[in-house]
Amino acid sequence: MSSLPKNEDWRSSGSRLIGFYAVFFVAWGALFTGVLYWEISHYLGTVAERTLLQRAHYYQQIDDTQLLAELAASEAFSTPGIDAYGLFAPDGKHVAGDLLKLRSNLPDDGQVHYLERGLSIALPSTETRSSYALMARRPDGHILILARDGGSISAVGGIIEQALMWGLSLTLIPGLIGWRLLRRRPLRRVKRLQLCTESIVSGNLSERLPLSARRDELDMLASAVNTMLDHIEQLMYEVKNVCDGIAHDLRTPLTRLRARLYQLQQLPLAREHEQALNQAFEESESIMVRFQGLLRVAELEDIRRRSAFAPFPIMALLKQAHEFYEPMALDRSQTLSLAIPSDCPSVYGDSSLLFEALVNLLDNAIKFTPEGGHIELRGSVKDSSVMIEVVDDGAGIPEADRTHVIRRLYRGEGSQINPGHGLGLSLVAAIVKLHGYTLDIRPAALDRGTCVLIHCPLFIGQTTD
Amino acid sequence: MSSALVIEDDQVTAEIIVAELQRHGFSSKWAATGRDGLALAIAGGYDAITLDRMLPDFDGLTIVSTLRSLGIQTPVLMISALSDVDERVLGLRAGGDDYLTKPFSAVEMVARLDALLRRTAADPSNPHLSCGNLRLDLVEHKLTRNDEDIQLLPTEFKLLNYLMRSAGQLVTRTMLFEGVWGYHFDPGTNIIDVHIGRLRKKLESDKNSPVIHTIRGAGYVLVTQK
Repeated sequence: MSSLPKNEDWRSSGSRLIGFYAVFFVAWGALFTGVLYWEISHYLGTVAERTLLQRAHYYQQIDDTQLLAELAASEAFSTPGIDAYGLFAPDGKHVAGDLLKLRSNLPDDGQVHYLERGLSIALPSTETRSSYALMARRPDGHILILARDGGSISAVGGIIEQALMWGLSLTLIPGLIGWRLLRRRPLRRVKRLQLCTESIVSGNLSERLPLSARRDELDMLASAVNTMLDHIEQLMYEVKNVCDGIAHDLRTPLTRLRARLYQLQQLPLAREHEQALNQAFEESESIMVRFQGLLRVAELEDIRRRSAFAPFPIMALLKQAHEFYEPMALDRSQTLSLAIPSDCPSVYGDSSLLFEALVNLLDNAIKFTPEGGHIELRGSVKDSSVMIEVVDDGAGIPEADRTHVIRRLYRGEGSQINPGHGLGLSLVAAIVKLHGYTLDIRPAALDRGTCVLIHCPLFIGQTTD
Repeated sequence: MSSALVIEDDQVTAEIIVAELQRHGFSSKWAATGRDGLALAIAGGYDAITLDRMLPDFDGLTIVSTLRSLGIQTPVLMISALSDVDERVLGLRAGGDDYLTKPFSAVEMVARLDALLRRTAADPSNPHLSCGNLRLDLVEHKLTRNDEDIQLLPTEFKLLNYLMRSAGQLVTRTMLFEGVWGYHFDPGTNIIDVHIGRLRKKLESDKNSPVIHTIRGAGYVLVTQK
């Protein structure tokens, strides 16, 4: 089971929900302020239009001769830079007012028009921002332009925009902080659950997912999984019991069968009978070997076996295993070398079982390495652990097979021609597990050879120095 | 003729044991219950006892510890369906001399019983062993053949030591593995054969030396050549 990579934390449902809310909020905020802006600008536009029309209507009633004086008098009260007027001669020449130039795109219809680009104005700046303007022709042919600055609308837009920005930042920033904090706790719990399930997958079926006092949805899920695990454990226990029971019940009949065949072998027999009998005897022997192996693995998987544990010097054991197997390697023109440090502390366990594991590993290594190959038995001390490695330069175990090889009776496709009952590595795995060590099987070199590593933590209370 | 007492509740297993013992020149008596077995063993007259670890009435451990507490030192081979190493330790601690796990081979059983009988006869104070023209110095760890030194590796020395102690008797592979290397599991391959092969080469360069015969499906016998 692979753990969630760090940069994929956003995949958590909490993060997704918060992300969704953020997008929803931004969209809603934008829509809301958009509508607000549109409504306000529409209202301000209407107000400007009405004011201009009122002013135009007022000046319409003023006589041409008094117009200049009236314009000067009335417009003196208007806000400079917001309201402006311009009076032009029929030839377009500027006569009076802040507006200095005629604009060709302003229709001569007495109606209010909105101009994107401002009009030329005397004060306070030379050009206004966008404006509402109205052009009216006087009876004497003069042209009167009344204008009102449209900039107040863009100012309102600016204010709304700012309000939107403040709103977003004030909501999104605490939101993001909250998201980080909120996400951390459930994620930490999920990580704990993940670690726990990994341990269960690796074989600790008695382990259960941790529950919190909150009784939230994670706890509901964990509790359901725990109930399921109870069932699985119970089933496994029953299956194991049935298997062990069968194995146990078969001991006596198998002993009888083998003894009967043996008794027959002692009788004077015809040649062909003897041959058939020998084959039957060999078959029964092979059943026995597998059977004993199965019982042995079952026995080792039983945790009670730890009673014989004691600290023992591991390097002496490696030396003995090397001595035990060296002649066999020599017989096959292989080199079996031993590499151990001069000084090594003791490990805690059952030396006899560890020797059995080494025997199985060396046996496999020799069996599956071609003649002339190299096998190395290595011992080393690293980070307060002892590493035992059996390395060969044989064909190696295909990656897909590496997890299967430790299963009971599993034999790789290529191994069918070689003798063995397929229990060796599962026996090793059972011994390693019983000791609380770890087993790692990997290629020794690129795509070649096998390295089986047993990682033994040092006997408690001891250090490497 | 040696006599053996077979305490075993399973009739077929008992028949097999008795038949095999007879084939190897033992006279034997079968006791089907722990009570009968204990009574017969206490009455005495047997050179060795095979004792089932689990009997319907008595535990095999109780029988052997009772015998030992009564001062009866008859060698006891315990036979059990419990293969656990702890069970072996319990059996031996209670006073059993050897421990055999079911399913066992008849050959193995007899070879072990034989070894138990011989063990009582062996003299542990003798500093050397002799067999034919071979002489093994147990103090100096040296092998000589007609006063000529033969170099032995430590393992070869231990192996020959074991074989010479049991000269003329069948020794099974598991007995060798237990006796020479000190482990009680089945090494499962022909590794013992390889060690025997190497020792054999060293011994058989001289045609007058004893030879190690392989008994198919059983083990080895060190025999003196005539």
